[in-house]
Amino acid sequence: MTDRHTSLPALLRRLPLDSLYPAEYRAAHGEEINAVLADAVQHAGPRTALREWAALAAHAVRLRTRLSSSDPAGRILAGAAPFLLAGGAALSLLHLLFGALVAGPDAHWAVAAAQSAPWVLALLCLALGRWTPARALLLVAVAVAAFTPHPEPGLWAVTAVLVLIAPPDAVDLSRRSRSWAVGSAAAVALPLSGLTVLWLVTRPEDYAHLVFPPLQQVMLDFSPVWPALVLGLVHLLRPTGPDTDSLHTGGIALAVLPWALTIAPPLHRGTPTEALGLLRNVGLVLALLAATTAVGLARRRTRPDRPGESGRPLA
Amino acid sequence: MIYGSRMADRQLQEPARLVLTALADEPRHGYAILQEVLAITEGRTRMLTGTLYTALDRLLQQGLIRIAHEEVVAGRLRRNFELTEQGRLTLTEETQRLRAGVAEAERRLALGAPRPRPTLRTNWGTA
Repeated sequence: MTDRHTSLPALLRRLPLDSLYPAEYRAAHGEEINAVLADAVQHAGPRTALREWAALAAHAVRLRTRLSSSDPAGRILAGAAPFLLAGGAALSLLHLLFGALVAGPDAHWAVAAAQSAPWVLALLCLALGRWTPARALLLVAVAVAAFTPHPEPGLWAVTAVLVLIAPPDAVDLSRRSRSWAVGSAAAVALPLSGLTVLWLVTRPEDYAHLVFPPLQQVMLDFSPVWPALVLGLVHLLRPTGPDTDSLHTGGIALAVLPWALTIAPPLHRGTPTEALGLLRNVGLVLALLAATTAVGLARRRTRPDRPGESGRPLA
Repeated sequence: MIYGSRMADRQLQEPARLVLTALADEPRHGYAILQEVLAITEGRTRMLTGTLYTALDRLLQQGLIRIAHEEVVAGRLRRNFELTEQGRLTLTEETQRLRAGVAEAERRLALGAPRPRPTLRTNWGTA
């Protein structure tokens, strides 16, 4: 009779871990990895055995999907991940604010809070350099969004999934990178929060005869592109040196793309439902990225090399 | 590879630094690296096999480690890994960076340390 502590490791050993690996990698290293795993779980409890199995399964899936930190696609995603999280958290903060101001503390607000809080907490974890808890919180956010009505399900789902599949060992968690990510979240959220409050203050009963003050109208008109614009500017302005990883920089551009799904904040315009609207948004975002990339390249060409710039950026 | 060599210039992630440290004195195979990491961190870090092979794949690609030799032990194939010159240099630079950080932290802690209160001195009772 097997006791509870040995049955799970034994069960995990029977699961088809080998088949998750690409054939070539499995042929070269499968036997070795199995041997190391067997040694590692020999005297381990069920929790350790489960963690071992999950970590190897993740390794295998990343290799199979070419999203490991050794693959270009993985490195691009790793560059994008902090900024995807920043954008999602900023929009969640707005969602939370809007829910609190419009709905008040009722069931709808509770749903908005449950949907948004994991994102905001994940951003806090990122600020503290704790990437694993940040990912766990996003997993919670995805689970909550799956079972509750969500205003922008496409944007949240795409953003969360991209963050979750990014190879965690390649995500830049240096203080400088974290500062840029948290700063970009603040730059997205703060003006739009102000706009939300302004809009609610002036919310009239009769929309037909509504005339906003000119400044507010301009802000409302530009608000749909604001998140994409902020992240595009981060892509342009984030300091780079000769030894900056271009794939990580490309990742920041990738972080702008999901905003094509809904360039609008939740209070002004809805998600473009027609293909033409989505195409227009994608075109807009791509044009923005092309412009920031062109300006960035031009700046790099005209900028003289500064002493120390080629030193280790530690970023 | 371009991105591989560039990565060597960046701050090492914790698992990569621990693997390089474990290989700094002699070549080791996978399970021995796990045991060495446990010893280096005085039992605080139990590296998972998946984390180890993710780090090994990446360090191999970056040219920071290489396979020293392969052997068959009890019917199992073992790859023994060792540091390359570039890996040794990277670990040296990382160690210097960490040392500088520790020195700065110690300096600031010393600056902020509570100073003993001045005691009131009197000449009462002295001639």
